[in-house]
Amino acid sequence: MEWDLLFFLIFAIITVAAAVFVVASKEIVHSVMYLALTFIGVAIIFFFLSAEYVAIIQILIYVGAVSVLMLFGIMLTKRRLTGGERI
Amino acid sequence: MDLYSFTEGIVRWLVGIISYFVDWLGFHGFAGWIESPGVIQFLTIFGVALIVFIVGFLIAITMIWQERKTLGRLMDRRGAMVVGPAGYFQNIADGLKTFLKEIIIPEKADKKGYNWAPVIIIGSSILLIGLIPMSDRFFVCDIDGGLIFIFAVFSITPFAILIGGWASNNKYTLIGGMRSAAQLISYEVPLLLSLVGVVILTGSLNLGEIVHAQQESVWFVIPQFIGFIVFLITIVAEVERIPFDLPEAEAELVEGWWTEYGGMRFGLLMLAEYFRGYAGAAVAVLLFLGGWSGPILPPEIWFLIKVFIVFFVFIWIRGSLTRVRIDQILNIGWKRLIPLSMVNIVIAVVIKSMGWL
Repeated sequence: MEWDLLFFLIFAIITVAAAVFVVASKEIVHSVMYLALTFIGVAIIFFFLSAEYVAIIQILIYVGAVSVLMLFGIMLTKRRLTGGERI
Repeated sequence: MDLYSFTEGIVRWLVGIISYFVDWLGFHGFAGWIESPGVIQFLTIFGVALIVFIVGFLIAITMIWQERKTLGRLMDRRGAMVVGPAGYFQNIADGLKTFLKEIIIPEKADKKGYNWAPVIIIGSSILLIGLIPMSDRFFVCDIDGGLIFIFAVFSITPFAILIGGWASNNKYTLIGGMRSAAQLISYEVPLLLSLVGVVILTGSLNLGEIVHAQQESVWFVIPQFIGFIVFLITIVAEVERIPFDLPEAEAELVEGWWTEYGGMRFGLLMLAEYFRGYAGAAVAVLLFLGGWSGPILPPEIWFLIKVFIVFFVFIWIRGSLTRVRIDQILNIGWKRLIPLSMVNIVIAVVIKSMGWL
């Protein structure tokens, strides 16, 4: 029983599915949520390659800064929700 | 005798009993698979994580009780008195009460974001507990760069807070989420800069090696006093306690970004806040106050004593000071604390190059 291979397959499937949902979801904030999940999955795959420092910096910069920057960019611009109500 | 080998002994004993019983039933191949080293290693890691989580949970509950009693004494009242010895079981009664409440989801809320945000926050707060070593023999993982990993996990929370504030479909939660994200992001800069002095003096990012370097010389609170003060202020802002309590201002915003969360979600978010408080106090102890070093008593007891003393300082600040305005918070962060942490880095470089430590 190869534990490493099993867990790598689980996390790789999660990462690829999240990357597909980034493109496919209708609501734009959901896209940013799936993008953050993709970044976390990539960091876990870096852990499997025993590159711990790269994985930690990936979480610190991409999940902690880039996703929040995209959220601010979405929320500070005028747009319409899918229901038609402007927020 | 560290935690890992202790747990491995218990797991081997249990697996031996189970495999003997399965072998007696007649499943010989399954009994052999249970006793293979991979399965035993997996169960051991699971058991170690479970033990450390239970210990952290008990510490967080004790911290809630300590805050209630100390804050009561600061306000000339007695705090919780009725349930259990000195009111210690009041938190468990409150937990049972929130567990029995109905789960209410607002009608026009965004269901996916509303359900995901507390999951991310509680999960990352519980992950923080597993990264903190309590002594040389009581830890889960001992990686190089564990110090940065703790603050990487801290930096996930503003994202989840923004999502939760937006998904509740409420003006006040949206304002609270925006304020919270602005405060957390602007205070991560002096927080990480105030740690650089300690890392320069030690030459390592491993928490165990930092504590060993303090045992050989002096506690780093003496050469790095400015860094210690800046770190305390920023960690209070990072776990959103009272002087920097703008995201949950009860007077202006109803309850900040978790206004719409009720029942068990509210209880778990409350618990996650104290998990983060425990992590902040523990990092302050490990970096500046000598970690688990001390005479006579076992090292874990010393670590817990220091953590509760630092948390008492947090409660004291909460009982004494008032709330700061949002523009004052950002001015303090960007114009005062970042130059102070730069001065602290210069002091650390001078001490290291002169060879005084």
